[in-house]
Amino acid sequence: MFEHFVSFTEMTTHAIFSAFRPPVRIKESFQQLYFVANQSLIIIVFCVCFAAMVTILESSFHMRLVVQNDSMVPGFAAMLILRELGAVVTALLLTSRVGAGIAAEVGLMQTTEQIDALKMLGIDPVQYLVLPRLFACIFGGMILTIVADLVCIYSAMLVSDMYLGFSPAMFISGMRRFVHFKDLIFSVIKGASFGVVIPLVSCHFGFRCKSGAEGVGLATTNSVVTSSIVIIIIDFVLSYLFTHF
Amino acid sequence: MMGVISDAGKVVIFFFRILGVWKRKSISSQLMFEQIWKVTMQSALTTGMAGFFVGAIMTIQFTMQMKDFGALGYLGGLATSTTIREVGPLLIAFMLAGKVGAFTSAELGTMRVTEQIDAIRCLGADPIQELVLPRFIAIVISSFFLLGLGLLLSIFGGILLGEVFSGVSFEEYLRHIPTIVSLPSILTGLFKCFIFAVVLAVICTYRGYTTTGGAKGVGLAVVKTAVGTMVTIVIADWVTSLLADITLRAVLGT
Amino acid sequence: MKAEAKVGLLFLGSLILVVGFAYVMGIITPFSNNKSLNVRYNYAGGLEEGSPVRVMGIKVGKVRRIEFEPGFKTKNDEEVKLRVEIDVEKKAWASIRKDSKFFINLAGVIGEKFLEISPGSTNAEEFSSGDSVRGEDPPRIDQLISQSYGLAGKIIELVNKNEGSISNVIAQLDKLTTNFNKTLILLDKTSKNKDMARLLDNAIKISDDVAYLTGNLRSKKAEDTYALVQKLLFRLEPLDGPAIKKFFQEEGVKAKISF
Repeated sequence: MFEHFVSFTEMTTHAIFSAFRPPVRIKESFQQLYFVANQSLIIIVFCVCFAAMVTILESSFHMRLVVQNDSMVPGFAAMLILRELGAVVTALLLTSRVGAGIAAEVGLMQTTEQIDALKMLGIDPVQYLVLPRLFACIFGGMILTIVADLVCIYSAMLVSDMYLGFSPAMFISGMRRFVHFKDLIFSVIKGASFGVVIPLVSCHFGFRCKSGAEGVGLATTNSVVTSSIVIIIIDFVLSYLFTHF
Repeated sequence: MMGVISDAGKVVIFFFRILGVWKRKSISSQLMFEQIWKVTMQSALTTGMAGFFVGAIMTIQFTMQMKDFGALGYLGGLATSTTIREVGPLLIAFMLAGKVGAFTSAELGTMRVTEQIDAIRCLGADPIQELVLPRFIAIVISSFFLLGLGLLLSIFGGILLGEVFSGVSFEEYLRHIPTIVSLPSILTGLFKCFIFAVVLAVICTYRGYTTTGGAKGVGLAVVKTAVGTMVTIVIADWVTSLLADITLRAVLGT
Repeated sequence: MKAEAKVGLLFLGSLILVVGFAYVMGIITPFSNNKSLNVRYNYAGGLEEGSPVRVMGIKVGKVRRIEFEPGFKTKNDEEVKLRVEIDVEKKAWASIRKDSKFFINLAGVIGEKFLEISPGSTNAEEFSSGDSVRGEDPPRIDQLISQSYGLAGKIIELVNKNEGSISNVIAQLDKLTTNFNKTLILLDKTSKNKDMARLLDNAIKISDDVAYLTGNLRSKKAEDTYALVQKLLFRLEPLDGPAIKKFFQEEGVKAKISF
């Protein structure tokens, strides 16, 4: 546990310092961003739409229970989506798709000694592998969080129009009462923070991958679990911090 | 698109295959309990932590809203109810998908690519009966327990944050839980847990069992498991919510 | 299409989404044709930036800014320390005249504050954009409640102490005035002095009025009202400050009450 922490910190500081050193792999970074953002887009939008429907249904259930009418459902649901669900669901999906992918890829490179080969060639593996992914995940996380938040709110609006009978205008005026523009900014900050966590944790487990199929499987699993837990904890901390603004 | 649909079909077929084996053949209960113990112990800490933090987060968010209403008294009931019915099962199931699901598919995948599964078949045993079925049942049962544990800890996290952050004493917090959390809510939560557990178990065993192509294949299987379970869980969440809502409306007559 | 181009497209798309969200939330208003007014208050009763502005109950704008101006004085030397800058849509502009009144009101389940503008008469002049106007300070609910609470206590005390005697007093007063009336009539008959007669005339009128008043006071309806008031006061008595606050919170009223 402690040993993991030490080597993780070591790798992170290494990555940060090597960010200011050439060579910068711009093309590879954009390839990674394409993998992170564009190729995850459909799956995230799909999941988030369903999450929005559930949120609307459950909010209306609670409102009817507590205050006997559900006139505040739009604001309430939009608040929940923007503050929590949008960023967290996106991040957890990214963890499973991108994070596990990175861990498997890097782990495979480790077991097939490609990373040792990179070192032989005088290439810094952290700079070569981690930095483009870090860049891609931070920006991808931000973009995807924005898209997820707004698509989620939009689909919540559609569902509440069809299922609960709130017209879009009612939804928006209800939303305005609860939600502020800064909530979207906080959400994007959350997305970026989660984007930092995912590649670092995944690469960490990838680099420490033991040889063989079992090693790769273990590295992938560990990276998914650790990033998910870290994401939830960071979400807690950020939510707590944002209440002061 | 076609790939997704055919994957879904294959998973369903695999599910019925497991059920068929379960019906026809006996299952060694010792193997099963071993698996249950293993899975539960492995994941208890992670799930508990996730549950705790989810409860804490929900309490923070609700406090912000309730303060504006001047109705902090409802905090306990509302936060608990939302956590039990929706956010808790969803996020904790996401955690389990990462922990239990990914682990099982990695384990089964490793067995597949290292040809241990073929070896079992050569010995005249049914690998589904020997390997998949105990894991399947163990995952369903222990996921159910783990989700329950997560929900309990989420209530605990809510109480703690209510006390520390929003200044609602735990007696007050607990006192309002029964006014809002009704039996249907708890049943909905448990029903969701059960559905998620089944979904998780069938997808991860299927992905692990059908792994191909060495270490790379194992990595890919884990990624596919994690993504597949999460997507299916989100859909299942919607379906169960809808079903629960319809039943509730029918029962209450509203 | 190259990967970079697709990434760029996605980036642009998300940027457009953010701008759209900002527009929907009313942060940026590129197509605005608003006019603004400075309304001045000494007490704004929980009005916030972004609170709606309504004319005749229809939302026509919102509060853009609230600023403290400690040294400001109006033309008639009144110190007004709060400046509330509001945006009003053009379509409602014609309804707001120099004799319009600017209230701060409370609406909805969660007690949202808004600025209500009463429509002015067409004879009065229109404002020009950026004008300054004095608003009607809302009643301070906290003061109101504490005052009425003190008053209620006093009345309860009074009633409790003299419960029996009050009705006695009324009855005796009535008897007294009837007697007085009789005496006055007698006096009127006996005395023919003109001044005296006028004086007595007035006295008779007064006593008639008093008799009418006390007669009303003793009617069935009044008795009911007394009973009701007493019941109400009795129920109010056990409530202390926090309890009233809680009562209001349970009613969903967002009242910032300080005791």
